[in-house]
Amino acid sequence: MITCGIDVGSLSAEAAIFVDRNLEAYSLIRTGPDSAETALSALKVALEKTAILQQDIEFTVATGYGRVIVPFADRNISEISCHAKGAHYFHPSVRTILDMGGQDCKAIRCDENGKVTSFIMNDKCAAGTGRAMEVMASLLQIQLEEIGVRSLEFDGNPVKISNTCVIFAKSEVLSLMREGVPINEILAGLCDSVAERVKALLQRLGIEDDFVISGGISKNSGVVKRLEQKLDVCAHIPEEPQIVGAVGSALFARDLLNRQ
Amino acid sequence: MISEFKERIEKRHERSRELKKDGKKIVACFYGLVPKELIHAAGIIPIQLIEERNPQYEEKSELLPYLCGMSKNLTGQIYGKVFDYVDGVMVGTVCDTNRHVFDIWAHRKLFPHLFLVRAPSTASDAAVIYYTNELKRLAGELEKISGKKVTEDSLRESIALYNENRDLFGQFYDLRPKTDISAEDAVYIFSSGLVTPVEEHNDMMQRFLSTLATTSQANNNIKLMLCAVNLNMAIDVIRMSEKYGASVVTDDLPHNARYGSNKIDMIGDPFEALARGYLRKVPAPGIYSFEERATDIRDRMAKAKAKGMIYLIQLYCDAYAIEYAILKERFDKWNLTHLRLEAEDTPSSIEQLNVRLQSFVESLL
Repeated sequence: MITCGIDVGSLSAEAAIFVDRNLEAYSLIRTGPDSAETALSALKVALEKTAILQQDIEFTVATGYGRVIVPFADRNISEISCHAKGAHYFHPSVRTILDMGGQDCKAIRCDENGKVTSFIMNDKCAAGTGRAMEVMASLLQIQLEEIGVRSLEFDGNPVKISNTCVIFAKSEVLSLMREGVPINEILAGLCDSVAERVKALLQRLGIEDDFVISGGISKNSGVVKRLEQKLDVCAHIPEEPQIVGAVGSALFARDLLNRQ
Repeated sequence: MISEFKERIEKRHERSRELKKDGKKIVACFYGLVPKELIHAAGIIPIQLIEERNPQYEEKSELLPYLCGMSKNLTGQIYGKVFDYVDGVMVGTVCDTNRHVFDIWAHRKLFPHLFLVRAPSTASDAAVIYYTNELKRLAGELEKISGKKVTEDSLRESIALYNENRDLFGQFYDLRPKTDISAEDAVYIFSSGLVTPVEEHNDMMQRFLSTLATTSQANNNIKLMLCAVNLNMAIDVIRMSEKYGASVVTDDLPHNARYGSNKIDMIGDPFEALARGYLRKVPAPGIYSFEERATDIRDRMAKAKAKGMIYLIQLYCDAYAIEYAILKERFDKWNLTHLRLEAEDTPSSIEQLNVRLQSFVESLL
């Protein structure tokens, strides 16, 4: 049984190919201006790693913000359901998931089968999302991947930076740069403000172990470490946290195919 | 027949202007806690001020962005002379914003007559006595518009007519799960009642119910209840729910399900009966006991076999937002599965609800 999951997010798109219950291949590419084309590209990149052809795929589920316009999908399922299912695949004991994506954050609770029981989302503003980190990396002229590591090099209480609006935060960072505040301290302040924001989201929902973080920002060790400290929890992060949604949707595809 | 209900709501202003031309007096209500029976007993046609989705009205209102969307929208419509046919407006105090837009409307002399319905925020015996006197005071004010005295007999007759309307709504709600009537159509049936003279609406409802056929076809969609105040937003959420495989089988729109189920007593002093009825029998946010309000929602869900509930808050609506904090405690205690949504009445804001709604429905599958 060959199934496929496609997650077209605001910043990145992923495809996951499953053969029965095994993840055969995956891809992770940048989302382009055309979501349908992006989905196809993600699928092609994943297929190139296998001997599987597109026509061999028996069922495809799309998720993410572009889920409704994936031309080859048989169904679309929300990213909240897919992230829960995908996190459960990687960590069967998961009960709480934090998905920190490109344009929103979602705190999700699930049951022992990876089915969503409750969730809350924050999508009114880019602060605390991947897009915000990209904006700051560009402003500080550093690589996105450096933010977390360099923020941890700062020891002490970092400067406070706004966590409710990325535009305000950008102005604050500009002022701090002019005042000569070291970049690592600014980065520490940024990571702290993101951690503070998602902490509030998780506290509203309530955290039950095991706790998994998915999405691009989970690659930022500065945010993850601070969040763990603030919540006194240990976060499990899948080897490739950005494919959790695509994996979940491929698993849904398998379930749906089984029911046919 | 549904098209007739829909037309009533779509052409409400034209219809009201015709009534005005025929010499009828019209008094508009803002919002659900204004006793329409009292207006009717004074020989006046009560209609509801209803929000209309058009961003120009919010801008026109010149009210700050964080104030209640409905108050802004209605103020904008009033400035745009949309309700040029009304002889007066009665504003029931539910929240700070609607209380204070009353002051603005009064200051600008936007209507020939403008009355504040000073509804108490409790339903104690003392509150009933106070509200009875308030209704008697308002009856005197309404007499000045129509020249018709509100007597105990005329008020009883009006209560009987509105009770009939409630009864017909009640019948409709009981029958609805066994029919093909969609949730969106149910909104039109309900909302037409807000802008149609009660005698005509009773007639429409009777004709409609006499032709309403039950179906044996089972609807396998996930059954939901919707708690909301804004009609446009309610319709959007209903459509979205259907897109994701759910059906809104019951609701809590102001005056809809809850209006339909609780009759006003016909025994004793009709003013007191009206006061008691509106304070104790209309489970409205902002005025009703939280415990009873939560219980009412739970019971409605159980009756309609709803598996989940959507609690839709129009952004900056104090009455809904504040009561939610307390209702949630009860909902959690009862394991009542629900989704709180908060949005502005704009297409872009509603669009953001898609992921939440889809996920909620998926979690109930």
